[in-house]
Amino acid sequence: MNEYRVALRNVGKIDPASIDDYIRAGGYKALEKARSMDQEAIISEIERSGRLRGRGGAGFSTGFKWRGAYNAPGDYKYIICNADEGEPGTYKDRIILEHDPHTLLEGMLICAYAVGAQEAIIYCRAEYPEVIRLLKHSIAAAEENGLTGTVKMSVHSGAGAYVCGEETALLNSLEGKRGEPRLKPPYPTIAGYRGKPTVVNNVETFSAVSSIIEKGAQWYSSLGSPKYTGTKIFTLSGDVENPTYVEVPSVVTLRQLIFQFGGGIKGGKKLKAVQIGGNSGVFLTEDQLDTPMDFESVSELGAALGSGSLMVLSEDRSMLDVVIANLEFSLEESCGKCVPCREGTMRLSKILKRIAAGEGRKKDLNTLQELGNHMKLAAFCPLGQSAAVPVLSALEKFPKDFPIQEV
Amino acid sequence: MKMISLTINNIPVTAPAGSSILEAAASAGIHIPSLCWHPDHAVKAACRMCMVEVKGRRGLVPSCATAAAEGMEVITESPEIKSVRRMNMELLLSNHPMDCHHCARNNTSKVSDLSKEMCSYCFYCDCVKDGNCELQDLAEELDVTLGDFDWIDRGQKMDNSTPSITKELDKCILCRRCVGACSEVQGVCAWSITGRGNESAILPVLGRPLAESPCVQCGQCVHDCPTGALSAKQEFNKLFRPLDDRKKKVLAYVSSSFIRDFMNLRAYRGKKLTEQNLVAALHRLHIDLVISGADYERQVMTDILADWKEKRAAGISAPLLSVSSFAARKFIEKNFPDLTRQIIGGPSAMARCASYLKDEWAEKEQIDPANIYVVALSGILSDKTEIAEIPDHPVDLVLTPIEMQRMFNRCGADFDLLPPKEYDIPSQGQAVILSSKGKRGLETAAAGLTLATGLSFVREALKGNYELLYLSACDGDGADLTEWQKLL
Repeated sequence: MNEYRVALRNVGKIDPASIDDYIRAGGYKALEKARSMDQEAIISEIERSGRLRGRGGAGFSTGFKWRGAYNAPGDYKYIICNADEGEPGTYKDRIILEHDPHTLLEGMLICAYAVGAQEAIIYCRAEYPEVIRLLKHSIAAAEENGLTGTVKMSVHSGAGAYVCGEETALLNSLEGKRGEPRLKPPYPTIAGYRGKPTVVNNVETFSAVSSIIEKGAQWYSSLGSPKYTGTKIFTLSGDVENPTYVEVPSVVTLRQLIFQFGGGIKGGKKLKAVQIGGNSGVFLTEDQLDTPMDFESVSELGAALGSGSLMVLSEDRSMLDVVIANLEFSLEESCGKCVPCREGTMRLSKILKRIAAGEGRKKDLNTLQELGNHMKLAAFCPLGQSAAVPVLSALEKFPKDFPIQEV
Repeated sequence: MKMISLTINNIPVTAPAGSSILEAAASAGIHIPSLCWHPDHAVKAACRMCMVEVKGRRGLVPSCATAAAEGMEVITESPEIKSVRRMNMELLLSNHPMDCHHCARNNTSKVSDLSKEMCSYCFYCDCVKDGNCELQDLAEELDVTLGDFDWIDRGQKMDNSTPSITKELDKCILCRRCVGACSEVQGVCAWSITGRGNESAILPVLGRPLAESPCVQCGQCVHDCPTGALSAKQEFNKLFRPLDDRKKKVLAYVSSSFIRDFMNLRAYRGKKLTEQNLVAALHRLHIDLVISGADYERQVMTDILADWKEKRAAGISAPLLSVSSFAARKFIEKNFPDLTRQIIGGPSAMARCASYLKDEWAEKEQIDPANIYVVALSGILSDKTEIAEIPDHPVDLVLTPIEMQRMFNRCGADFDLLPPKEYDIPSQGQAVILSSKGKRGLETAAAGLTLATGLSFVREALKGNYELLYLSACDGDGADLTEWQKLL
């Protein structure tokens, strides 16, 4: 398997702060082409690209979102880029933003033209201050070059809340409200930012757009698996020799990612598990390594591809410690709106810590199961619904890591 | 109105298009438990109690936030749904102070452990909301006491900074109804959600004491709170000293808002109590005289009308404002200080009555006014604020319906046994509650479209669209003059 770069095509080849470099590398040609096309035709192209699916984690059809906002009645529409990359172990958006900001801007401008939006906003996580500076610089350069046309572009800094990566919480935050998910429906494509039709897409998604427009849907859908076409950026971290990022067609297997690109497990140890998709991901084991890393195949394992982060854990790791760390994060980042997440994450964390302290009670494992299933079923948003997923996964696959002393 | 048909628990239901599943179910007499939902507030879907199953949808959905649709098949009870509700309740109760029945002295939590002798003059027990609490009722319905979780004492301090509202953060379940009532209904915006996750809390804005917030003590949040987190400040033990003092005459002024709200208390609903029952119970507490407030309430309105006619004749420009309660006055003072001088009308009804009692009546009866103690029974929470904030107020104490219920319970004033009695000083005419919707009134605040409506009225008035406004913080809405003239 060879790396195949679409979103990352310019990384390391151009000066990210130079718009001229980007243009010399063929940049903004797609925008020019798009602006000569019919709006509908662009959306159809995105749809035909094997339905470019959102790279943020939910895998929602991008064309569907665009069409929704395009068809939505409204004289003012917004395009928002979700650059609130807060998922632990995920740094794919950062690579794009730091090395090739214009790819993102071009994708957003194409989208703005396609759906008829007047304003495009990048919601960037506050922990990337240099990226925010670079983006502002790049927007100014694009404006100077007359590329933004009538579209007003801006960057908005988050304030450090993970939940604001959820698109409706992001919209609330952008409006100056408490960063909490909204009720759906209405969906953002109908009533999003300030109640106007809004497209919210991830950095990686927008960054694939210019190549699709330039080279065509046919080309894009020939890459990767038929149900999840194109390439995906994976970020490797944890107990791996070479913690890195790699963009590959989605037919790549987990084994190739860890052993070919990641150089195997650190110190020649054995693999214990890989947590896939971020902090709330399930743990995959040795026997599942030959799964292709497309959305559907991963879902069939009861896992979620999510943002494409792979946390590799060697045989030395205790799963109890790992899930305690996972829960610590969810507890910190819960917004506190709904009962199952607000109280549930706290209880899970307390019970796990009790077990780690050697004071586990007989009933505890059962309570963890019940509470975990409860949160999956009853929480308001994906944060709460998935917070217990690693606990349930670890309990199922590594029950020995949860020692109960009490007889 | 367009109607839709669906089935709920296999029962065919028709409901107006746009109803939520919860509303459609309620209209068909199907109960779905909920804690955060409130008909007057935007949907929050935070408590996750009303989760139901909809055929064809994955998992469970919150029925308060899901629109009922044509042909929908809904199941509201199943083992899975039940366990979700029970788990939610266990999670809530596991850091909720379970002092519904509790005695601080003997350290138990069972009502049967209370000793009658010890209890007779001790009132520092029980949660204020005991018996009127939605959380308690739902816990009972779901048969949940404490779950598998270790109980956590949140150890929050009480906020008693205002003269009329007590906030016990420990008892807050973060349902956000107070926020809805304060921001959406009243337009006061005193409450805010602070912090996040397990550390989040509902506090007065900027986390300051309630008295330093925009709060005007209208009591709407107290009314809407489903638990004991917000309650009327309990002051009924203050009544025992004057009652025990043989030199003192204790006189009770009974306002019409009190009567309405008292009868609506859960404990008395369906008992068909009359004012005469109430008078008998008050006598049982050894209150010397019970006085009907209706005449004084009429007097207040007549005065406002007279005042208005006089000011108009004198050419004073509109808008003139009249207020139904101290909270409404505070609202004007805080938000429209320029309009404060436009407020017309004299003292409140209870103040008029108490002045009469301590002045003319005391002289007639040859009693030293210092020995007269006036307790006003009121359904309006800000009456407590009024007597605290107006210097030398003739009323000595204001008690709310829940306070009286607790007092009657503990003093053996049994409505079933006491023969009805007439007022010692009755009214000549009928009570007038202006524009009362009588919609609610369970706790102390009473109904509806109030300060927020008032706000828009004031804005309209500033444009010159009204000559006189009646602003009510608790009860009814802005009424026009013709309505008044008909009533008086």
